[in-house]
Amino acid sequence: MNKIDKKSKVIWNLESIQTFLMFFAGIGVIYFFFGDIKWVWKLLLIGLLYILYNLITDLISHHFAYKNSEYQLSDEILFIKNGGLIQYENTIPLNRIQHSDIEQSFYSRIFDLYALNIYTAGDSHTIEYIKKDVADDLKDKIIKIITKVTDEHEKE
Amino acid sequence: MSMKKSRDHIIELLYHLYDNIKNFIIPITTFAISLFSANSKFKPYIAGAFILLGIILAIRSFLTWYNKTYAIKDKMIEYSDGVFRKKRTDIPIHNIRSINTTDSLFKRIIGISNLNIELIGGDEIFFVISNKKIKKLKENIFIGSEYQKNKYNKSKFSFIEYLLITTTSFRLFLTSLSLVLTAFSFLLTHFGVQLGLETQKEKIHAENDTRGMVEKILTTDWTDASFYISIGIVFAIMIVASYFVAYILVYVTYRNFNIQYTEKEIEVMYGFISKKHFHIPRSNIRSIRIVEPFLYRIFGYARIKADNIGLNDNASASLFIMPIVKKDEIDSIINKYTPDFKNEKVMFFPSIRVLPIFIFKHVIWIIVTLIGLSFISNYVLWGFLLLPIWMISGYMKWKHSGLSFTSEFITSSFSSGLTKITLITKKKYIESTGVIQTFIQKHSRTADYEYALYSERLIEVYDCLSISVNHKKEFLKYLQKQENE
Repeated sequence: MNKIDKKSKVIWNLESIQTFLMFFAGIGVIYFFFGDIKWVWKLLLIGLLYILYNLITDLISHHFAYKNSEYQLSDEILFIKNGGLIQYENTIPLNRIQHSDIEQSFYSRIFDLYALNIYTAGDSHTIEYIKKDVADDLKDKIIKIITKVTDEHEKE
Repeated sequence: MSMKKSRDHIIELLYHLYDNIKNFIIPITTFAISLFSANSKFKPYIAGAFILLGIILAIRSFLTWYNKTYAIKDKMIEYSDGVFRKKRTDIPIHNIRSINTTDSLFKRIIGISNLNIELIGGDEIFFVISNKKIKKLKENIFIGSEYQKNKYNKSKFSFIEYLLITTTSFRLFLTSLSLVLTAFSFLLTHFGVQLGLETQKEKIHAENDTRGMVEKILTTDWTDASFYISIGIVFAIMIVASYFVAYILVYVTYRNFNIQYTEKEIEVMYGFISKKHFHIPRSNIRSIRIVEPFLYRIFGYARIKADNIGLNDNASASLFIMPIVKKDEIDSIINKYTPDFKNEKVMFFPSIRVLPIFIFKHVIWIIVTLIGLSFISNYVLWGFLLLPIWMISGYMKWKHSGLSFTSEFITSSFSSGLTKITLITKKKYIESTGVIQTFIQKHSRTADYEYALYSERLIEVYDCLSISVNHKKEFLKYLQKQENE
């Protein structure tokens, strides 16, 4: 089983903090203009508690998510395990993969890490975050198999 | 078969105009009149805008019709459309996944139909051509001479069966409601006094009322209890009348339900005012759904549907193998029309131990939300009276959750509202399998099993909740086995 990069945890945490700050700022703006109205500030307080709850559960979840996240590529199957408080395990036959791409978010760029997205005809999966050479290697292997399957279909 | 470049039948131009009147002119005009009142000082402007809009839409309809052309060659359909942004598509005939035709009463009289062609990748094109041409085209595309061999198997339904279909035909109910509202509005306007719905004085007052919609809302006395009682009575009458009309529409729609099958395909045909005609290659049927709405279940009935690769959601919603069938006949219907499938029973169910978890998951967010909102107003706490609805919903999820997987199919059952759905999918159309486990489920040694299906949609995933964790390894290796088989 292969592990993802340890810095993934930091990236996820930064993404969650950014989301929290954006909503916090939104709540602040609404409070500035409409804070005098009693029901508005009560609603904002509920909103604040909600985003705070989300932030805390996210931060705890990311800790476990790193521990749980692993993947394995065999000749036929890609196995992905991820999730923090809720764990996800998925098996994707390589011949079912339609396409894959490599993505870099704002924070993953800071750490030079990448996310590999895999698409089948019915869902999509992500391995985040891994080093570029690992992502390229995985993607190349997947593309090779997809090409082989397509060629076989065309011959038929 | 080859065919010169053609346009839709000229009648389609009238339909374009009708669609534009129905979708744009009537809603906009009705809204403007209700907003400003029919007797307001803006009446000339509304009339002017109405005429201008009509002219623009008439030109638009003509150009849309004129620019849509198609030509059918031996192995290719050349299709182009668009007024300002033209698009030409060449479709290899072997890429066609299914064909279905629809028509209206008027089109049927003059012998034309809409021919909808579904393509690999989910695109759809349609032409309006003569029924003779459609027949030739169908025979050329994927139906051999054997197509003629089987006779239609006409299904006749009983009174109770039509009544049950009516309870689930939401679209027909909306059509009926619209008809009832129109009739009610007509009666009220012209015969309100004679029928005792209003007094002469009220009628004159209403005719001279120049207030707009907003003004009327603002001046209504919302604290008057008799106002709500009147509204409630009118509402109840409307619903009963709409169901009665819907029953007639359902009868007319399904009385000629026909299904025909050959080795390669099934053909489904029904409808009267708007006729539906599906040609589905059997090899393209991805899954079979046995749908049991609450009332169907009580009377021992179900509905059988087919999920066809390449059929859009709208068409898919109208495609039935059987709109209603007794439960004990399900196996024989599936064997007869879709013998590639088996009605395999679900074998793994959530245990009674996890029932509290199901109910808890359904009510926790409602409780939190109500408590949170009660901080703003205490009236919100009355919402707790509705809590049993969510508890029942959680119970239904538990009751109908189930799964089984064999070398040929994955069968899962789940509930959507009060409806139980059993989905039987061919293994070759399963894209991935997965298992989800929450912190609580780890302790109860259960997990949610999910699988993705080959679909026209970006994501189509089904899950079976809180099944024993014992089948986890086998389920995750389910598709791996296939590779080795």
